[in-house]
Amino acid sequence: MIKNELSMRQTAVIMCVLGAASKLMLWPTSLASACGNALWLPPLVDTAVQTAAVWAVALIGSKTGKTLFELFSQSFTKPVACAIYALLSLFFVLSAVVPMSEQQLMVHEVFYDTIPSIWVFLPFFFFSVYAGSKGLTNAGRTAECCLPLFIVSMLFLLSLAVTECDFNLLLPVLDSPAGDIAKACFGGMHRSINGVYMAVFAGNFRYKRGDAAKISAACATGGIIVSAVCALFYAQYGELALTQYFAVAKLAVFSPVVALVGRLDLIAVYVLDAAILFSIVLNIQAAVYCMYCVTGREWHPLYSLLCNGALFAVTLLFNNSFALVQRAAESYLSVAAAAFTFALPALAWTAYAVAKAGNGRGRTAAAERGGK
Amino acid sequence: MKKINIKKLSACIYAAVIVLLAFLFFTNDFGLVDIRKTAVITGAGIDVAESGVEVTAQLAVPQPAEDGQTTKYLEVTGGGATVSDALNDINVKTGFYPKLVFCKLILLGESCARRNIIELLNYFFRDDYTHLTPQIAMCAGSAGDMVSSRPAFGSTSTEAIERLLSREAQKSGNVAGVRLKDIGIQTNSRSRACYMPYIVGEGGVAEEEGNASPSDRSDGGSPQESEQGGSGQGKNGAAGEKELVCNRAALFRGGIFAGVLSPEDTFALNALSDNIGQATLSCDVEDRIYSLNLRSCSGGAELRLEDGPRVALAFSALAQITDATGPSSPEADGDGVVHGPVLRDGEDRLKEMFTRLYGELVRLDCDALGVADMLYRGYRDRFDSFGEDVFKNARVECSVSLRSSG
Amino acid sequence: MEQPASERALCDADLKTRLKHIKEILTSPDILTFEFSSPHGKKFALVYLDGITDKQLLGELVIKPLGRVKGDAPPGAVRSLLASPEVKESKDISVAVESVLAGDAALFVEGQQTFYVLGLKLPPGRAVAEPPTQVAIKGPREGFTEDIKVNLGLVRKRIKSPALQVKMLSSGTRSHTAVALCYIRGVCRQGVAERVEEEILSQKIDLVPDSSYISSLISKRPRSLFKRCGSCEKPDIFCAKICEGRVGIIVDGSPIALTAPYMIAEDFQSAEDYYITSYRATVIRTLRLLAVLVGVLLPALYISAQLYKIELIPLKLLFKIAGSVSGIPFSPSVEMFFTLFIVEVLNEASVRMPKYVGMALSVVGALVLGDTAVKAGIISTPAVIITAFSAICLYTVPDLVETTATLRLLYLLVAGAVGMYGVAVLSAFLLCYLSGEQSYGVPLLAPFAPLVVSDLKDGISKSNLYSMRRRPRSLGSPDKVRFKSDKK
Repeated sequence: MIKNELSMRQTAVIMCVLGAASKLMLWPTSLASACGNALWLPPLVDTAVQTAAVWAVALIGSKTGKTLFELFSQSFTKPVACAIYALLSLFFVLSAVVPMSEQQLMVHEVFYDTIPSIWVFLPFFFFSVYAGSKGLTNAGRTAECCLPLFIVSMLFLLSLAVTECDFNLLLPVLDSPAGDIAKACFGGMHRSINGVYMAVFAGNFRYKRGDAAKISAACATGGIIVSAVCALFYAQYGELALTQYFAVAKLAVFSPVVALVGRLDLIAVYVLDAAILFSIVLNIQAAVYCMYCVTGREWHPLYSLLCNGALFAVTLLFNNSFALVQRAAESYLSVAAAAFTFALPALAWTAYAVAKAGNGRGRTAAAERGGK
Repeated sequence: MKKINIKKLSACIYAAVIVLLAFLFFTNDFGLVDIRKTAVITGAGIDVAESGVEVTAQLAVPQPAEDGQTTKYLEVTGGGATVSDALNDINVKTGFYPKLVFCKLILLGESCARRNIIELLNYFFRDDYTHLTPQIAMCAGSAGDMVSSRPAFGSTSTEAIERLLSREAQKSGNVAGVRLKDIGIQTNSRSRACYMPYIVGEGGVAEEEGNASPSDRSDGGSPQESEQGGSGQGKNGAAGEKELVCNRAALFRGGIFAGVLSPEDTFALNALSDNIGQATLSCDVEDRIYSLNLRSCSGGAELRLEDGPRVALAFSALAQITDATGPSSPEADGDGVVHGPVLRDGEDRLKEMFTRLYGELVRLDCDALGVADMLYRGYRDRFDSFGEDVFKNARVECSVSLRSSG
Repeated sequence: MEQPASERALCDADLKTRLKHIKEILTSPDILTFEFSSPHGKKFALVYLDGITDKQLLGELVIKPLGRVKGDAPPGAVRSLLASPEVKESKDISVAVESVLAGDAALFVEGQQTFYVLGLKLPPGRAVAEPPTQVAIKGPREGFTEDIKVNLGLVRKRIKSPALQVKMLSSGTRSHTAVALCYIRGVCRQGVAERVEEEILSQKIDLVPDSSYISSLISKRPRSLFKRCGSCEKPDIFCAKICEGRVGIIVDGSPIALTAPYMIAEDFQSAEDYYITSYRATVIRTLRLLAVLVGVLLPALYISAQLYKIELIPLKLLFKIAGSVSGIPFSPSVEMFFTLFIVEVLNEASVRMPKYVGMALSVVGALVLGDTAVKAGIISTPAVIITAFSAICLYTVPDLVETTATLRLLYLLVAGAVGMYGVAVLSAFLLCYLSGEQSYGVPLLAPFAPLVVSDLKDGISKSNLYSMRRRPRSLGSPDKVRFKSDKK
């Protein structure tokens, strides 16, 4: 039986680890191109926005103990809730496109010596179909498994990288035009959707006092890790960062350890890739969960097949058009991400207020009836 | 409609996947290049020719272990309009797919002084499969000749040059080792200047006879072989043994060759780049020459803007006398203390070297110390007023401190 | 309804008639009957199974005392003279049949409808010895045997608590194999023992020759690559596991006892970890984990590095490997597969072959297949080294060898077909699969997923005794505290 229950710890780990993992592929290079040595700032800004959204939604969960779907159904009617969740489902599938495309490119470059066939990426879809049909409980447990893998591999890579960095390359601080930085912040919104994830998780774990703060702190930590990686990346390569794709695979190449014993850092990258895989698949799992809420029927692998079918079709269509996909995501999907990030908590609080008012009216009516 | 049994379907899918994997396992050739079809390039020499670029690659070709040998080294030259074309030419000639992931050395011939080296090295900066880790150096004469030559020490020229440019050698201050990454970063910085070691091949038995004739190479010449652990005799017209000396540095401004520093200037540059771990300095006091061993070295250049731009060149080290001419006695030598006059002379010599270096850099219009970059990064608001030529207009202040280690 | 003739005859007090009819049911020649009478003329008949019933005890405890029975003695007098401590009375012939087949003896008395079943079985079996699969340098050396009674005795020897419950079940429609369910009341989570019992009793199978059959019966996913029951051959491990809150299952005829719920982490623990210092135990467990990872992944990594990403291999090592493989007629993946096949054949043959030819065939295996094949250029030295090392690594955790050996082959297939990315995806797939699986309500990957911080003290690292005062939370035992100290 597929379960969708999480614990607070699992939610926090998802926010931190899976939230950070998928951003470590091409985003540092894109940021270097967009805003030079200020590339560490957009992850922090996006994370700050998402942390606020996470906190707002988590707080709702503490007050109601219900999922947002139940809350929307209660306050706005079920068709409205279904419409919102259907849009969410579509949004999650589209959110998986960019990290999946980046993963495809990363696989071709980091896992192979020469450009291999497109079919080497096919195992991803098998895995995605399987993992997508597993439910949120499975997502939480796999995130907990990814935590030590993520920590060990990141520590290894960063410790090898930090000795070869020249932090003067990050100076002068905030020299890039504010417009470029703002554009990079906005363009990265489609990558940072922790607030939207939280909307799906809320109500699926038993809230205890202080959990919202812990989850928000975890979300912030993930953003700080991404920012640190970006900073180290630029401190390694300076203006050459624009031509160095897949920062995590390039961070530790200058270490004497690598020169001595070979590309041990690639082993760490492959271990990290497990976390990246789960991070990408989390979008599918969230999309499947939303579909399950919308249809109201029992859990079925067909949901995962449909979501992955759409993803596969996009892959085939845009196989050699990554730049187009990235531009489209930065322009349009970021708008959707921003909309969901701000709208969902607002809707949730509105629904909560409506529900509370409704309960208050109900109690008054009951009291009056009792009085009569 | 018949209800689909998910479990049975899953079992069928798993079985089909395993069969497919087994099929691919036994028959797979996705066009990938595996270990048997790969030529590992351990070093590459780049020369500029009339037709474009010539790349001489030193290929390591593994030999069957039962023959008693492990690796055979070939030098193959390919030509083309760009480095990429030249590498492709090597593939055409040898059938091997050249892989640069293990390339640890890029050697630029003297002819590269005619071109912008950043343009020449564009392939390495662009290619996703090549890292920016190889060391880079310039050599006198042809890089192809140097790569093909037989060194006096070491089995291959690449190995010999790598030893020359090793971290240990750099720590002595005689060698200015840089990587491809450093060249890119320095050239793209506000100083727009970089430097790299300059290698000269000295001596060599039957130098002219030993080298493969230039006419052979320009035909796209046959590969020349050198075997690891070989007898040391020249074979097939291979170059005679050469002693490689690398105590100079070539300077570049915006990627264009600016000049070559003398050994003393190179030492001074290394000292101010804080690259020295343990160096030797000669002092002359009261007609006695002392050789000082400098340890715990720390050097650097700093830009200050109070009262106009000033470049403060600082260096400090612990000194110990390792040798001296003239009469000596155990009582005199045993205390281990380096006396004042010797230290002062050492400091004066170093100051003189630093001042001379700075003058040379200004003369060559090459901001190798990165003064303009320091201005941009440290004093961004005043960068526009001083500009990139700040190092030419700055006053030089030297501060050298040598302390006796005894 | 009128009774059938045979049952009427058996209810008849006539001894000869009853014996005749019992022989018609139990026709096998090793079912023996012995008729005797007391000096006072009272006639008796014994029915027993030759080879299982202890004839000496039969004589001492039954035949001799019955010599004092008088001809007109009441039924109670016979009963009081029987010296056997295990005596049951019955009138139902099926009980006599079952008991005789189980190794007990049935005593029929002339003129008495009731017969007696005497517990005098002594089935052939081996002595308690050190188990071959779980050798310990420090700690007890006793191991379970095939006799369920001996095994239960070994358990009772270690847990002298009235809370230890032993429930006897029977499994196998023809074998009627005795299965003992052991758990500690108040420690075992509510409902687990009942669920296990229900699973055992609901499955109707012919024969249960070994505990592995029971393991399949009680597993929700019998086709899974990963088992759902723990196993052990040592009573100290068995007792430790049931004291943590598990249910133990001992099957007659099998020296391997089962425990449930099961967590994968427990296979990385050995009994010896609890008898040595915690630091050493932590190092050893980490070593086991690394060894299993190396054993499973090394051949795959080697193949994928050679085929798809030679940059992974340091340059000098690359030259050595390339020199070794340059003359090999097979592709790297086929060569590795072939080498693994040879190792598996050698492994299987070494277990099966008679010990007298073992030495000669070991020489053949090592020299001919290993050394000569390398010299002939059929396989390369690195492949032999990697396969041999991988095989040794897997045996650091012998309980998981079935699973890890299969996984190694799977990883090899994936690495050779798709490369390193396939290895990464397969690892993620397995992680996802294991995260969703559980054994009687306990996740297989506990205490790592879901993370139970307090249980990590006895996960991969091992804390000392004083730090492990509580039972594992993952098992959900109602009695949480297992170690209290009165010292202030």
